[in-house]
Amino acid sequence: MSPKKIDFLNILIGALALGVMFFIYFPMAIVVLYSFNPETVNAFPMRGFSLKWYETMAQNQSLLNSLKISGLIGIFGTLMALVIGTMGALAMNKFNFKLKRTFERIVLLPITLPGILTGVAMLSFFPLLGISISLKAVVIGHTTFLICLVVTQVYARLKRLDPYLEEAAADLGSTPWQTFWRVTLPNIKTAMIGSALLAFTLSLDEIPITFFLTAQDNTLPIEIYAMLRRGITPEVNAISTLIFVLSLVALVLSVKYGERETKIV
Amino acid sequence: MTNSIELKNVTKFFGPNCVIPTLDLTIQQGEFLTLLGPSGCGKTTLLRMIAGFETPTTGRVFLEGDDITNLPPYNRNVNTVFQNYALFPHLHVFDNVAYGLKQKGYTGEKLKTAVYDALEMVQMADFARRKPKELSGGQQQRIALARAIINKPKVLLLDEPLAALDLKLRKQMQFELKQLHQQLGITFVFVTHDQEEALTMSDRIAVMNKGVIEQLDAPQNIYDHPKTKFVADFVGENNTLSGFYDGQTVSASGFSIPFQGDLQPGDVQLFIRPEHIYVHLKEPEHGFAIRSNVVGKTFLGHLWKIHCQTTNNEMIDVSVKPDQISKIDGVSTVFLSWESDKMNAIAVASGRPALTSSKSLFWNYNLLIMNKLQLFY
Repeated sequence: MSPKKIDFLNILIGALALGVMFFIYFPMAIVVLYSFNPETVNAFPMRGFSLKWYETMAQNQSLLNSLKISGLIGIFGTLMALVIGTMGALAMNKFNFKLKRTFERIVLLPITLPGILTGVAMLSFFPLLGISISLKAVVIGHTTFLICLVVTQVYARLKRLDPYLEEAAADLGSTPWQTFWRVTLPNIKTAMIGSALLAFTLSLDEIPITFFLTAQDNTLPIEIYAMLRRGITPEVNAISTLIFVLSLVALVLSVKYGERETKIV
Repeated sequence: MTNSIELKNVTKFFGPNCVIPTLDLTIQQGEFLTLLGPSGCGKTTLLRMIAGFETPTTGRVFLEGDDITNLPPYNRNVNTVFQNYALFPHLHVFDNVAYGLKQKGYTGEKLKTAVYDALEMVQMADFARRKPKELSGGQQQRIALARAIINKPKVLLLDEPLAALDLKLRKQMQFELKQLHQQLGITFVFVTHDQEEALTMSDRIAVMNKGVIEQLDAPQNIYDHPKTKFVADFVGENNTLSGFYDGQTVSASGFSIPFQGDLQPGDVQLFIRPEHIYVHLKEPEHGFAIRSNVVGKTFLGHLWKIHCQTTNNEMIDVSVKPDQISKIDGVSTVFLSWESDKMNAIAVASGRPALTSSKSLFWNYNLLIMNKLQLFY
């Protein structure tokens, strides 16, 4: 192939990539733009710039309440996933057991399974355990699929870590417990922060599992969905913009701290 | 002299695999002992049992008379320098070195002084604020050393610590390690597969093969008087010839040599090092010489190696100094000889071979006036 032909191909591929990116992100840009629209009807060109819909949003009690619920679910789900997932990753790194390779793959299953399936399954299973349909159930539901994020990220980091570090710490007088706090944890800390941020954003916009497991309390995405059924109000644009910015910050941080070599299957 | 480390009837199995059959080893206070052997010979496992990372399947380990067999590593007064250094990547050099003392409760000035003393000892005081990944391999090596010796262990264990360094740096670190050993006066147990490294540094060498110590001796004895075929093959280069010992002389195809040693008469294997063989261009009038064909030569820098084939089709390598090599240019037949006391013999048939070399005997008066490696016309 001549250099000119390669140039042409590169331009073509670049253009295609740009087109795809545009298609994905342009609608988002529209939402952000319209959130500053003083009019009630989404129409272009906009007549001026206003924070009116942000004020309306700030006075919508049920919306704010759902934001609080979502935040709490996200925090508790992430914390539980962080503890259980890190312990799981440590165990997988330390021990060899039968079907370990299979287990490594299965651990990703909750995130690939359709949420609606998991939701229905939990809806019929949780009452058997005596867990009523409530926010508690939602937190447990979220935890189940957030765990695999933490496990994969922390496990990948542990695998890259020199296995002799723990022996070196023991050699220098550390008990296993001290070794964990002084050597292992500091070395997997950033992977844990990264996966926690990612887990939190995923929990924030989760609908199907939440929908099946919640009683009367609505989380933010469900609340927004409910609002949309009454017609698109620019308030939705405002809250969406807010969530978008929050997610973006969390995502950037999670990439900064997270495991760069993780393969998400 | 007191014993530093004592291993008594130690065996080690990994599942069904026996890594170390039965082994006894006594390491003396303050000595530099090297465990030498090919990979998989059990030398690292032995070291790890002293460190406490492995527990012997049976047998006991003693440190200065105390049974430490079941003590975890963090309760043993020994420290290890790991093969890949295993420096803590999240800590600065200072905190890496300070780790052991902090564990013992050192703080403030006392800690700082001790750490800088240790860094001084390995000439790394200027690097205290660096992270391990900002150091070269040789520098990391020094930090790993400092991190271990700062704890004043009774025994310092070194697991092939120089393997990852380039030749020049390795030579220098060998020298520095040896100096450090003299300076500190503590017992060093050093693991390596590099026989030259072992010969250079050790007070004693334990040559290991398949979990068994084949010979435990001073480097010079290991080199000059290997006691088993394995040691003869593994340490340095050796030519192997088969022969027969009748109680007074060893005979093989083309020669027979008077030989003394506590060796039962019977079939033997003979070992003779390339640098101990003389090359003659004509058959000497006295004594023996093996007629051989020159089949090739290899340049090694400080030496040439000539590859010869005897009439019995046995291969013999001979070292020749570069300034002598021109004399055998174009020569196809040479005569090889050596002094009897440079030769080692080992019985073939008997179970564990007793190997010995004859004590002296100038069986060939011609050789008296010959210089080593001298060529004769």
